[in-house]
Amino acid sequence: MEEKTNITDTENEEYMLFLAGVDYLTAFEADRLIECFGGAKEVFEAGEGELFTSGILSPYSFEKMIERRRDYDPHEEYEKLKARGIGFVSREHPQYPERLSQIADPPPGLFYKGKLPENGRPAIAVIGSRGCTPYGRELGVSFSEELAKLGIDIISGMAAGIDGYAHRGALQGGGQTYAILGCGVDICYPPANKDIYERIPQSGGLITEFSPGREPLPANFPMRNRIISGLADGILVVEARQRSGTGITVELGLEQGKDIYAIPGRIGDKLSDGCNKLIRQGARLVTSPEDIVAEMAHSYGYLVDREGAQNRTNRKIKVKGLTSDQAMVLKILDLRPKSTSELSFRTGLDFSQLMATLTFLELRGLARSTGDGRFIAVRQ
Amino acid sequence: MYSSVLSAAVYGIEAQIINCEADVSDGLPLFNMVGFLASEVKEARDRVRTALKNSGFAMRPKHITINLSPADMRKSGTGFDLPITLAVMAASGLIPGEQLEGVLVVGELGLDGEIKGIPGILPIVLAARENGIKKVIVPKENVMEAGVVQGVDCYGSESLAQLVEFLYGAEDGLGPVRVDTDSIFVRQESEAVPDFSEVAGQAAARRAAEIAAAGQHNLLMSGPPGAGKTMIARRMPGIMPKLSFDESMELTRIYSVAGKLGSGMSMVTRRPFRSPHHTATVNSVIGGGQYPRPGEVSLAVNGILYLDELPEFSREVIEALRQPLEDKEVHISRLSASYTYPAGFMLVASMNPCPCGFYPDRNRCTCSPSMINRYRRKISRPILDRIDLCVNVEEIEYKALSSIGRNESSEAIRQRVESARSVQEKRYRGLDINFNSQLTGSEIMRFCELGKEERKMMENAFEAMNLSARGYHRILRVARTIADMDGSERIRSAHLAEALGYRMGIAGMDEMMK
Repeated sequence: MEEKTNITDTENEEYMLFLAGVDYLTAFEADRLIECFGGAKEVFEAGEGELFTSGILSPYSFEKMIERRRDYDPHEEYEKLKARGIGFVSREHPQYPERLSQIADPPPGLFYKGKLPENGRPAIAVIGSRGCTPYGRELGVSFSEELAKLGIDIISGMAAGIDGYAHRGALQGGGQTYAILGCGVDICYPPANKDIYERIPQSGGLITEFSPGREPLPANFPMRNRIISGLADGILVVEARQRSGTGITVELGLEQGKDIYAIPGRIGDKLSDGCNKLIRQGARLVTSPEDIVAEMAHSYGYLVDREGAQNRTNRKIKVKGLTSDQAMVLKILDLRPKSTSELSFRTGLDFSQLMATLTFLELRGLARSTGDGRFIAVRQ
Repeated sequence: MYSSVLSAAVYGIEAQIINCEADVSDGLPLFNMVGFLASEVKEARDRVRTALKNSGFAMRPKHITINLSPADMRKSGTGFDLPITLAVMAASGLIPGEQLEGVLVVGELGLDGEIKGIPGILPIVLAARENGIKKVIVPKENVMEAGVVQGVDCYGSESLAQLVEFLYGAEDGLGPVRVDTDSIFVRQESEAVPDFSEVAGQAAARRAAEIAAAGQHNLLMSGPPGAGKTMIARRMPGIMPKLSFDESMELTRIYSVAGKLGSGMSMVTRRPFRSPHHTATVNSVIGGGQYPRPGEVSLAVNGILYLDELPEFSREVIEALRQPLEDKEVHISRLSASYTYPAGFMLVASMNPCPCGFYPDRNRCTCSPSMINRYRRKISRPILDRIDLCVNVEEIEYKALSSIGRNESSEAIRQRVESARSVQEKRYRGLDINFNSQLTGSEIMRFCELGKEERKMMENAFEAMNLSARGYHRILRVARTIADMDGSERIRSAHLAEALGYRMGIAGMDEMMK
């Protein structure tokens, strides 16, 4: 490693950018190349024969590397990236997240929009199923919102379902949230999340190991998951099926020594099977954001507002100015969607009265339609 | 010798008087027909000649020329067979021509001289009346339809031979036929139609159906398969006000032209319920074709067009519905002419919440979010903007199923609908709108004025629920109807709140997947 002291840090970044930009070059291969040749610059300048005979590269990534190297100007590419407003840090850069560099196969470089998580700030990954239920949605949003308010960064994958709600909750709470993408940072995937794709970098950041323009291929996502868990202190699973991508992230998190938290669900709800199984295996059961904060307070005592969390959990919310009908309906509503016929049966209100009552509650932000004619209470 | 007989051709749902001229003179034996004729009209030559022979009339070899005037309008259909025959016979001196003066004749001929029914009788007889014609001769099959028109003597004949005898003065009861329209309407009431009392539970859908009928609002029902969406839609004509005579005439005209009025039928007396399959083409739904015919939107006039599984319909069909929904008319242009068909129908559509139908029951639904999105996106925003009411139909539980028969009947619901309609009728007298659903911009300002409290509520809703300007108007229209049903001239906040509840299905569509 001594030989590369003759180049500046910026120069090294430029060559690392080259390595990070080689499609299908794994973090493991990149590591060994640097070790073998002495630095990113040396790898870039190495002869084809040398690279090939080193035996580090798979034939496929070898081909990709040679292809990319042709007419490649590291300095120019680095400037071009900057001009596009996309940041890049290599593993050797001081800003590279500390937590991430501690995992077994940290990516050689990270591309980002917005900013990178600050070292020393508590962070939690909030993940779950893409096709979530209203229950998962509500909890994903409210847990993330509460945690963000208490100064904890929310890490997730900006996928449909829980991921997206986690980011939305964090934004609502005015906190910092980081989305780890399975594609180039210039691509919004899924397109339906365009709104958060634009809002996240304003306070937090969009982060990926894939170079700009890289398509969201299915194979990218399991790889991205190790960054999600790697950037966080713990992982909160909101809702998951028994076998799912969420399971992969949890596995990776366990390998990386992260705490696993899971929100329990009812027996028979397929989307809670994953969480219940995790709890059986020893994940920490959480019923309020306070449970997580208490745990985090051990390592981040002064940064986490533990007392605030306790107060929030214990507070009694009094909603004033409701008519008796509205109060009655609100009392029945909880996080399980209730159909209008069930509500009508239990309150004795006829349908048009009930509909009007629900709309009043919705306008006051106390209830929400789940979009299929059923209603849930909004967690206060 | 020359002779002429009046006849008529149908264009769209209007008829035009056509003069059939025949000249029979010496010269090379020939049967020539002119006058911008479609091939089925030209083929009349063979039917006329053979029918004459088989009815016992001898045609001498003569030079025969037929002209249908005005000669610059394209003529199609088989209704000219009979007038051409009579014109030839009169010109040949086989029948007394003066008997046919001022008489309109239509009908198709068989080779044995039988007179067969044709489509479009009602517009033809109406056109005859407008042109001061006092007597029409139509096929016997169609005479009940013709007889509805007051002020014209209608005669129905079965065969050429019988008709000739009639023209010579035989009194054998060909007419005039008069139809007592009142009795038809009375008879219709005793017929069994599907009734709302058979629908168990489904309070939401029942209420939405009632509001839809009261204000003529378009309705979208969403729910899992088997929940009863089609069952409810089928019962909706039964809760709409009874068909008026004018509405019935409009419908009968269309059905007559489309050839869908059964033989011996006089009028369409029930509100139509049309339910085209989702593989239907644009032409079959909107109308058109090489020889334009009314489509499903016109056959559903004054009734219900039900599109089951709306997202399964082809995109072109869904998009093509925009114009008739807006204009209540369909315009079809062809090189030879342009046609206008009425299309004042009420749209009732249904859809599953996702391709498998069970979303959001995640224990059963396995559709991925992108599949659900793709499925829903098939219904474009412009169409959704024209649907005032959205309602979710739930799967019913056993408890509700066992209560069949104890639910409110269509008759009771219809009475409420009728009273709400009469409020609207009074309010919009002198304006060219009839229902709340037709209210637009400035009329909404005028008829849906809100009080201070209500305005505040809508402001709140506008932001909290992310309404568009169109969505805002949609809610006011529905609230107007709910207030009318409640007998309230002012729209109160409870009315608005309920109306807002029917928007959720739509808003949920965009928002749900995020």
